[in-house]
Amino acid sequence: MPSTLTIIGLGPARREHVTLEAMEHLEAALERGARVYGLAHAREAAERLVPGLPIRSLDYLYGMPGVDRPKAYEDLAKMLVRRAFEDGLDVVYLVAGSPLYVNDAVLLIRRLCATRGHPLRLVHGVSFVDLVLDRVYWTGHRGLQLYSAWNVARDGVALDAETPALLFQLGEFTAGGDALDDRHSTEMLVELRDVLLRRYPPEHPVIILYSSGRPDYRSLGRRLPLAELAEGTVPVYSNLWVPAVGGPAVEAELAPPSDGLEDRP
Amino acid sequence: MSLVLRPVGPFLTGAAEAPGELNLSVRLRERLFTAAAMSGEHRAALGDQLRAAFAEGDGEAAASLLVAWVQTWALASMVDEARQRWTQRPDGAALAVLVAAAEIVAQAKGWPMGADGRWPEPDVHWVMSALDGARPDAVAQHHPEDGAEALAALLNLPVIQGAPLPLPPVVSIPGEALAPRRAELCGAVARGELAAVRLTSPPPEDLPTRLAWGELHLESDLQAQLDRFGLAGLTVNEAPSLAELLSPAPPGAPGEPMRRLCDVAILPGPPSALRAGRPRPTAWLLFRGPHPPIPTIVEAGRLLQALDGQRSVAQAAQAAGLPVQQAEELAEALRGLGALTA
Repeated sequence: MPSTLTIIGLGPARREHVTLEAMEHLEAALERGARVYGLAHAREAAERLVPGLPIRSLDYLYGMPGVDRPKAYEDLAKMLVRRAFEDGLDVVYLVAGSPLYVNDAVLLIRRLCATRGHPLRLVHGVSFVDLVLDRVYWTGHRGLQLYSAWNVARDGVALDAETPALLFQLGEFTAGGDALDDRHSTEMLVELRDVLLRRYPPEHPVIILYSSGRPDYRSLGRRLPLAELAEGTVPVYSNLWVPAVGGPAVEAELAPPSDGLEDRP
Repeated sequence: MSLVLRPVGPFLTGAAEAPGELNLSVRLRERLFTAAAMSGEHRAALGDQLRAAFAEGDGEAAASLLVAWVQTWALASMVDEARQRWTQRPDGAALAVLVAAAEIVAQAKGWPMGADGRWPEPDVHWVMSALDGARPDAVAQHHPEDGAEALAALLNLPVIQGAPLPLPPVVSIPGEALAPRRAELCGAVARGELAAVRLTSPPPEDLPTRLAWGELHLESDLQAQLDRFGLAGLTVNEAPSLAELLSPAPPGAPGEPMRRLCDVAILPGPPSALRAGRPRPTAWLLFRGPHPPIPTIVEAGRLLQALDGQRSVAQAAQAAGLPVQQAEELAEALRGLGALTA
């Protein structure tokens, strides 16, 4: 019996950002008839990369009444570990981005495998951080704070104003994280703005970093004063760059696109 | 030579009765799952029950009967073809139609659903008439849930073991056993040792059961079909819903005089208002084709009833007691819905 578990990071969205190693593993999974699982974004990406690869959808965990994200990820992790090492199957779990960035299910799988002595194969992927940082100039001289917007707006995480911060999932607005659109994102933005205004002046520049979506997935950025943060909506997977107070001036600038094209409004 | 009786369940495909066998499934399909029965005896029986429910002020029953009654139009247009296709081979679309028709038959006849939960269990009178004077010696059981035991008890006949049905392996468990047996059952499904799990009682509403149910559907390619169609669902890989098989009627041609392309009924409704105890007169556009029934305002129903292919819209408006302008607007809307044509 195979008894293998492989986690494959597929990168943020574009085919060019999928590593050769990930592609090889996807094609091999198809060839050997592995049992492949994935959530929405990862599944869509893999179906485009390797047409015909059967992928079992884990999306039902998102829509189940009474199941919040932590519970869903816990159940998912235990289920996949059980499938591989108790049922003796060849299991592949697909994730968007890098498996190592802000992925509770992957973290739980890694811990479960480690404590039970199961081998785990993890195939790295490009992280969303690589893409969003291309519209700012991060020097690294003052470090970097990386939090979800939810942590800062609602969990009481206090930012150090003298260190730049990248706040991700700016559009997320429910505890279950089931936001797929931007309609209610201003609720989060208002809370985030008010929390940040306790430590940053109203005119402090911030940069909203987001993707143009299909088909190009261009990295886009919008620089504005902190006081105006909540004046529009943002997609759920937007990020906010908050330069340090008194930090290098260049860190407060919006960098031009890195794809050689002009920015379109 | 002995004669054995085969029960209705689980309603698998196939037409012929084997030598020495009376197949109630085949006879039920051939006699009650037909366009003639759907638009005749079933519709009439449901209509009688509906009138009784209205008279008794039983809104819940009336709502359920109304939904069934208006469905008989579309089903009548689909059931013959579905029966013929299902007779030849497993077919998801045909099965979706037959399952919907089975609910109509059970409701019209007042029969319970059989052990499989999807197919009507005929009463003794119908069974006796379906035997056409033959006297079977036993009921053959081909599956634990084919209803053989109930049928044998009904006819006071012994049960004998028939050949097992060529179905993928399924296990039947009570709903409360799902969560405790989650790892075992889902593992067996994932390993291909089990196709699906049949619950013999409603599952608890608790979180462990919901998660187990979710995992079961994740791992089983046939669980959803078993849920929808009973054991017959195990023979089809996928099946559309009945709603997916229905499409809006094509618009009629403009001009005058106009004639109706559908039947019209004006009844208390719609179903949600009946359930809430606040029914209002509602007109139903009932198409003799694979089109969904459409509830609409009473004025539209009255106008349709007045448009007989002879009168102009203005004349029909007068007959229906409607202002001409309103009638013209309604006629145009009804033409767009495929209810009228020149």
